[in-house]
Amino acid sequence: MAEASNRGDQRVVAWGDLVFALAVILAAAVVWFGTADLPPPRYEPVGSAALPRAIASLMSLLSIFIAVRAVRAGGQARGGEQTGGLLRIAALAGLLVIFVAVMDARIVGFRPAAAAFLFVSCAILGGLSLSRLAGYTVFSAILSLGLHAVFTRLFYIDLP
Amino acid sequence: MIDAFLALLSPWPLFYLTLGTALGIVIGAIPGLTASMLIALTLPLTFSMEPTHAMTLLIGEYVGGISGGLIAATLLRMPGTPASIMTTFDGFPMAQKGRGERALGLGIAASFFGGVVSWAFLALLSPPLARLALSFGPWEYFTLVLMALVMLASLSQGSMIKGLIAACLGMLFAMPGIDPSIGQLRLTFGINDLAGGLNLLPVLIGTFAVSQIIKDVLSISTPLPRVDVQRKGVVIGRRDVTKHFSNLCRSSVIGTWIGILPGIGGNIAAMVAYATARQVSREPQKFGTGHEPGVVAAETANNASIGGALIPLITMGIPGSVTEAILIGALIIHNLQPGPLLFATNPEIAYGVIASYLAANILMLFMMLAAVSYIARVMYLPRTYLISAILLFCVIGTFALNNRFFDVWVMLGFGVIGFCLERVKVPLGPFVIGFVLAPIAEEQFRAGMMASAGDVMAIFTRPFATAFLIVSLATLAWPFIAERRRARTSRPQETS
Repeated sequence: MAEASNRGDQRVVAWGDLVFALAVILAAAVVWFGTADLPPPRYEPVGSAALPRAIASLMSLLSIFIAVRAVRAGGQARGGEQTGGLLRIAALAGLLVIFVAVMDARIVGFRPAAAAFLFVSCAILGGLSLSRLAGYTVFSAILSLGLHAVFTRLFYIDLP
Repeated sequence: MIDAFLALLSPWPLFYLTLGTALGIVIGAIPGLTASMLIALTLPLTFSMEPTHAMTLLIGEYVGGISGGLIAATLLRMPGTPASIMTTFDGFPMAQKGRGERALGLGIAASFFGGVVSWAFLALLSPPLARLALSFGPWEYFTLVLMALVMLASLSQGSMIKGLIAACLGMLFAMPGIDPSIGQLRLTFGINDLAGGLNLLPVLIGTFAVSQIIKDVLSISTPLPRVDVQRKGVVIGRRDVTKHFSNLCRSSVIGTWIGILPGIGGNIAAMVAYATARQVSREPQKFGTGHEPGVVAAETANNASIGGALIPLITMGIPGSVTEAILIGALIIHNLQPGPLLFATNPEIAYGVIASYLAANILMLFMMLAAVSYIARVMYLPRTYLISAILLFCVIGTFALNNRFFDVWVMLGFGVIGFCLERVKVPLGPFVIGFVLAPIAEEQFRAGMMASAGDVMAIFTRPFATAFLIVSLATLAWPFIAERRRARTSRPQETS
């Protein structure tokens, strides 16, 4: 049984490796594309494009090794592993993006945005119940107001 | 050096050192939160501080963070920091046998001993090494950086190829912006905010703090068992020091030496010291069952590795581990150039780091002996609140760097990258250190090429550069040689 699960785990790693190798090759291609219009070296022997291209080439070469090894080992998708945790991560990541986006777009200032972010993130992580809500509310209010005061008055950093 | 110690005794530096050490111990004691995460998050708060105060605070956090990790490792079998992994092997069984206080006492004393011995190495070796490094030209620096990256990639845990790819990826992310040699814009893809390149801080906070938080979310619902600690049994006597003296000395030297080597952190130092202690022991079978020398070896070596890692940092500006990369970031943020010139241009910083390291160890000893029973309770702080607060800190800290949201988006992007890299078992150390060292490597390589009129073979006219190159090649080749030797030795056994 344990052996079977180990084999499964190895396959998962191989599948991840394949995706990783392809992503790295894609990144290397982007670098080649991005450096295509850079002028050739004129005042010194190396030029601006040489190092990024050299690194991208080396990276692609190494990724091919990883990809070949991954294909040989076989690949299988990770099935139903830590679904709750992954959902929680997705929710938290979404919340974080919304939090930063609303401040970046100047829709809401730091204090209300931070208070809302803290409250919702606590709810995502700790779950919702009436007894906990009071704690979340107090924590969110104190931390958002306190941090705003500390950063703006003590460190002279303008928060949005 | 004496001036540096005297400066530490003035109120503000002492306050920052105490604060840093205390914060480090507390954060180190909480499983999942690491010293590097704390240092990365505190970095933005140091903008308005004097550079010496900032470095004092960060060094305190580093020492405290590594030392605090032993509490959770001993009581919960959950290493507070990766450096404490080996402490779980004997610390936890001791705690289960009702000797938790004794394990903690030995661990605290061993951490202090390791710290003091590695401080002696740091204080004695750094000034002459910095003088030697002053004679280095561009080829020496380029090959030194190359050697550091190769060693880091091959010695960090996991596959060497993945380590090398991680280093390359980190280097690539340092390329966008203005080419430092000729002022040419490159790889900005029309994004104006990229003209200045990617800032170190968002990359660090994203890669380490955010990705670590994402990882912690996965284990948030795991309840921690309650363990009470009495202060009484924690203090150990002179007889214990005498009993473990040879182990303490040996593990300190191992820890310091491994700390000096790039890329091998406190966890490997602890592993090697533990394995050595077991090898030379008359009772090797007792290791892993709650044997005192196991705790002593692991804790001595992981703390000693800090002093060792600080040596290449202040003498050559080469980070030995992720935490040192963040410390280099701290120096750069304060307009200080890490490297051999630091001793000449800013001796108060170079000697300040050395003095702070010893003082932080002394403070750590007293704080942990006096308050270990209270610190142990910190482990049970509700993670819901902690994680939410840390995420908010990540956003504010990154925004505070330049008062722009571009950095915050970069930080979030690197959080995702860091998490994905960890999921496919790609080490993050080479990635971040590649990012830090790429500009140095490029600058030195191009300066070398200009000086030698485009002849790369000029490397071989410089003895140090040749030696660094040979070490790099040997490090790359060693895993393959070792594999072949293993295969050759196993073949006759199979046939027989």
